[in-house]
Amino acid sequence: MINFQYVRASDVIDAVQQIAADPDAKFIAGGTNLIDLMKEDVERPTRVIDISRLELREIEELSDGGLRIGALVPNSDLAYHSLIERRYPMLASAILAGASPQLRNMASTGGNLLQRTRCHYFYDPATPCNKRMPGSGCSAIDGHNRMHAILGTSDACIATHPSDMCVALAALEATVRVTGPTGERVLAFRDFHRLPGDRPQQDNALARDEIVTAIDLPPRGFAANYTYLKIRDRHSYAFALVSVAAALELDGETITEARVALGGVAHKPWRDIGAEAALRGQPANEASFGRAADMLLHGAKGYAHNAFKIDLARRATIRALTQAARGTPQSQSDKRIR
Amino acid sequence: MASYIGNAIPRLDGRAKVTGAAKYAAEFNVPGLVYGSVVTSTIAKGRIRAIDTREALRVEGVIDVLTHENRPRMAESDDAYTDDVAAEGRPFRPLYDDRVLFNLQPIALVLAETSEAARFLLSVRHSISSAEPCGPRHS
Amino acid sequence: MTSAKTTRRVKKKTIPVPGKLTVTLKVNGVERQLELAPWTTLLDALREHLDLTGTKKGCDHGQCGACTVLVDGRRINACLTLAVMKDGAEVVTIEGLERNAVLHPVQQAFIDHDAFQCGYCTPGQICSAVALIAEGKAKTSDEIRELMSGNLCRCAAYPNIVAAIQQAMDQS
Repeated sequence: MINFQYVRASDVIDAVQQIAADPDAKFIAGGTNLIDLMKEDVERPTRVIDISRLELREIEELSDGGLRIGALVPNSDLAYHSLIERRYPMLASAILAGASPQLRNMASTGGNLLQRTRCHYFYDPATPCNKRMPGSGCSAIDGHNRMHAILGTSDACIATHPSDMCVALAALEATVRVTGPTGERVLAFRDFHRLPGDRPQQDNALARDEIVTAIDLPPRGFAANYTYLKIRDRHSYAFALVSVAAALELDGETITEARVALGGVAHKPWRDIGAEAALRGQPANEASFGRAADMLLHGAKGYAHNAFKIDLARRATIRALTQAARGTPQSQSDKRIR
Repeated sequence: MASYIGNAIPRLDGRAKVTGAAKYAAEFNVPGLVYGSVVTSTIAKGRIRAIDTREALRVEGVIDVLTHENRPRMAESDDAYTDDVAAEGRPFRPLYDDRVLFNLQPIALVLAETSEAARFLLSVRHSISSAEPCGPRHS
Repeated sequence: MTSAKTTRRVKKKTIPVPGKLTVTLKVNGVERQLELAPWTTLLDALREHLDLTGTKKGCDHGQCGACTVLVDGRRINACLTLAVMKDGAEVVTIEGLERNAVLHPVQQAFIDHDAFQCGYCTPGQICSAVALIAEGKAKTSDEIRELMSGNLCRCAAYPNIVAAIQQAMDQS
């Protein structure tokens, strides 16, 4: 960890001004990712701007029936909030599938979006990594890549986004509110995280002088038919090999609306609008789910150690949609997958 | 003696461990305690061309910086590091010479009067060494 | 260790260690004021500056839970928290759970159920369990296990840890 100057931001405007003025500064909120990266010498800010005391900790109801979640709401508060439990249980379930209780108490909503990949080459400054050092190469493509992406990859990077919460937010079609020097803007969740392309050093669409202030949830929460299914090497406290956020609206046995997002397989939560559209009007059965899974995984490419993810993702998608259709969401404490 | 045999007795170290009173290796604060910080290699294989510790030694609270150039005498024979259950192969000797054998290999030890000074030195480590990598590079 | 003053100690102007920040923490009910470098974690502040070595450094990266303490009533990993960020907060460590030489019910339950071997993870387990009970989200042993998953134990005392927590939970 390098020597750095610690300052606090007094409000959102002050935070934006401070970060705009210093190209080597970083915001800190929960610190669960940034401090870890600083200890590993991957992030080396010379100034750390503490935004943890800004007034962005509210969850408020919106006039359209949706919800606005302040960027500093801790992950655990969000997961256990009565409005989230009741109206957006898929989001609560996804949050509780990730990290540990201690980390969930510390981590902020905004920080969860902005957390960086856990690729072990990214974390190791002695190895080539185009995300950490553009142009140096990608060690994972021909290296140990069990945890890496099978979709949306490029020759420059095959890293994944590690968040569970983001997979649910993608399926719910949340929007992200950010503030910068020129004012506020709103991004659709699907546009927030990027694919690596030839600029893997840029994880998302946030400009370096912008701050996430809130995440808005639309009124539709799919509270009756949803699941968050996470497949990992351990029962708990491990990142996903593959995860699925699946949500349905049903008219009897017929699907009227569908959302499916995958985690652990790409640089961002992976959705296919065509696959979701193809489910509308279909019976909620394994054949329909299998067709959707095939569309969702179209173009999937395995590497030396992660090709198993393609079939695993397919089967997990079908199982998740089945759980959602039956109204039997995966429990995050009873680990049996029914 | 008879009162211990056959009776369920709580562990004697129980109270100390559940109250945090039990002390482990790094927890004995004694007068004159010196703090160390390990400087590690940033390459996986090569030779240390030079180590410049002049800047580091000027930092307030720093006592010394040990490197392969000024370390105390170390045994040269493998036997000195071997016991009956030692693994096969040659032992690793930290700070022994200028060779870097693996990623994050210790290449210097900062000794300071405070933990702050020891930690601060890690941010000036780029002035401490430059190493010439050898062997195949990633493309 | 013998005096290590080196003959190479230069007499030129010394470089000061960067400025310290004043941090006030209420630790186990007592207000403490510290002068800390910005990069000092809450864990290092407790162990090095307040001599409260009960909280342990296991991995220093938020992966093992040995550094679990309660800050403003919540369990957190002290190793991934800068002390300065918690300026003004109330911190409870393992040393602060006893009251008038009477063990906290969770501490007593850990002894009753032999919920430790080497004891290194134990302070973190106990602080985590105290918070878990206060959170009120765990009822079954599956839920206790899941909500204690942030605390690792290499001695594998897990079955006894769960039993101890169950006992303390039933009592509270």
